[in-house]
Amino acid sequence: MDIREINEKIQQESAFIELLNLELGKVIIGQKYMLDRLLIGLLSNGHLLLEGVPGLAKTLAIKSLSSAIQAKFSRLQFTPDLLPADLVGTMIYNQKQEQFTVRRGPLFANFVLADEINRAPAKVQSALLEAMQERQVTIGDETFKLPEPFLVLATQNPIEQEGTYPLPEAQLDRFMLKVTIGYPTKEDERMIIRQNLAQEFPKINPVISADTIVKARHAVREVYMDEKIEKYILDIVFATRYPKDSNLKKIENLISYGGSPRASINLALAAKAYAFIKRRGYVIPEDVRAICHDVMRHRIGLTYEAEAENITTDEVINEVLNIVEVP
Amino acid sequence: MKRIVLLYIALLFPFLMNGQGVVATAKLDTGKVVIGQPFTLELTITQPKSISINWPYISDSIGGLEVVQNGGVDTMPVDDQGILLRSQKVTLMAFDSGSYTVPGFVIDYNFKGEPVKAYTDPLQVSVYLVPVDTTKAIRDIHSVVEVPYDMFFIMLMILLWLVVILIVGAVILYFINAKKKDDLAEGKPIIRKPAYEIAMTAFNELEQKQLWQKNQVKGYYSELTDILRVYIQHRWLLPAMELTSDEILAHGFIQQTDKQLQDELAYVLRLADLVKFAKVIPHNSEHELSFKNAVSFVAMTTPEQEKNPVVDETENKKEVQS
Repeated sequence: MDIREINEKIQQESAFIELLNLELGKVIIGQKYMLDRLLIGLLSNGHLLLEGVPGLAKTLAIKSLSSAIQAKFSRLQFTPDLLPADLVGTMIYNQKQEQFTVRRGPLFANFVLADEINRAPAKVQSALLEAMQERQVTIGDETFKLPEPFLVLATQNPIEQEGTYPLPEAQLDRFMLKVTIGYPTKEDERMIIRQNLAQEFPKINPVISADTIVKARHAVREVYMDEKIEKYILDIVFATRYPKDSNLKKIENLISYGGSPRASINLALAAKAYAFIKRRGYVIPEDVRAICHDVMRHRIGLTYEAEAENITTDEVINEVLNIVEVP
Repeated sequence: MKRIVLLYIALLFPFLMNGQGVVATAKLDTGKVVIGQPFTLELTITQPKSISINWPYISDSIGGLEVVQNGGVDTMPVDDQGILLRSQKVTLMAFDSGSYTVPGFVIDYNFKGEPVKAYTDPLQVSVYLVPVDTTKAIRDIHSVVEVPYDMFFIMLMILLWLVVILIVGAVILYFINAKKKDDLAEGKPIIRKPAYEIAMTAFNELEQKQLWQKNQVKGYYSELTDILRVYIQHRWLLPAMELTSDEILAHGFIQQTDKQLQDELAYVLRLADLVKFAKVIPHNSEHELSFKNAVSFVAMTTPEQEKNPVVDETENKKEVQS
């Protein structure tokens, strides 16, 4: 397809983004960064891991998004005594019919908020992550497909790590983005105070359907990505794997393992989705750089040396972006 | 006559006659010593092999004399009839003048089930002060003896030190060179020529290549933006090769330039992005305009003195060589 056609198509298909942002903006003040990442996850069929202290409108954001898209939303509070059946559902004996019937769990929703995912033991995390990957669950003998769109938004609290079950690296890799949410600005927080004091909570109206999202996902795949951008993505991911080869001797001792091939795939997909929400039919290096931290930060392992020096993966990614040549 | 000889032997060596006796003797190697002079006490016991004796305990001092060294008990056979000669040497010393008595030692042993004792005689030793000749003048203590110079040894030491200095110097040079290589490898900008000269040479080369005329539009814009990026990197020491177009345009140094220059730079970079990443093929006039804008940006942001520098060839050669 010609680039002009792609551009025009993307312009048309992405028209709902503004509408959606306007609708969400009625209740969510600030947090544009988080909303953009939510849309990227939604459009590229990936799941999100949000890290931020309580009270940053994580639940409100996903709840509002599901209301605006006319989709089913469910929230799961992860606790140490949670069982996989509490998520996926179970077989219940029906005395009337004298047989077992399936009772579907809260995972059967378009938007699932897995609150404080690291508070549940590994078997529950594993059940959720398997459902995220396969997009289907098995209860008893039957396998059920999960609804489309299906987006899991898991949250983690960066503080209070006692009594938690940190997600293993292999499972973290299944999240497309790990988004770190910061506090709102002073101006935004003033607006939040006023809105809360006035008890004015605008109602979110459904502005798009789930079908629109499914259609938009196809359009995202069609966003043009030049081979120069592909090379740029590969350069970034390979620099995290083999820093020495990329003249990154400075961080060589800080990285224990770099991004997986899933990192490259997700970086490309997320860059396309970012270009889409910017209503562009092609990817530019700015798109890659904009979502690079969110895609890579949970996919790079730091050494003990880095941890001892309080170096974060974000700093390592900054070093990589500062050394890899932009096409 | 034979009987008389046997009688004498019996009187001289009574223990040989009964074959079961223990004879203990103690003796000093001298009876007179100077204060602080060591002397030896030797305790000797002759006994049959079949008898077990209690060897006398030697404490730290004996009769006011200090035990300096306590030797072990030495045993050796005297004959084939099982007679042993056991001895111990003890080095003694006195730190005060006077007369000292080494008391006799008591050796306990059992003979035919009966406890028996053997004794040594007490010994006398006199300790004297060092005689001082007061008639002679008082002399200083002996001065330090100087070792005569050994030229071979001195030369060897000088040689060794030179080798050590050379090795240390070589190691330091090696690390300095390695650091230089690292700096080069890390892409730290080392400006050998003025930024303006580099950019203008590259513009000329690009023009001569006639890339867009040969339908290599993407290559043309890639090279054009690379020239600008390298120029910006040299001019303002910005890592422009690792920055996106928006990041370059938003940078403080670029923002300080003339508004028209900013617009011209933005035009080139944005159009190049479209060509490079969105397959856009601009009109021929746009290629020329982009080139003109790029050259204009370089020319207008270069100080006049840099455009016409007084070139010192030897200086340049030195720089390139280094």
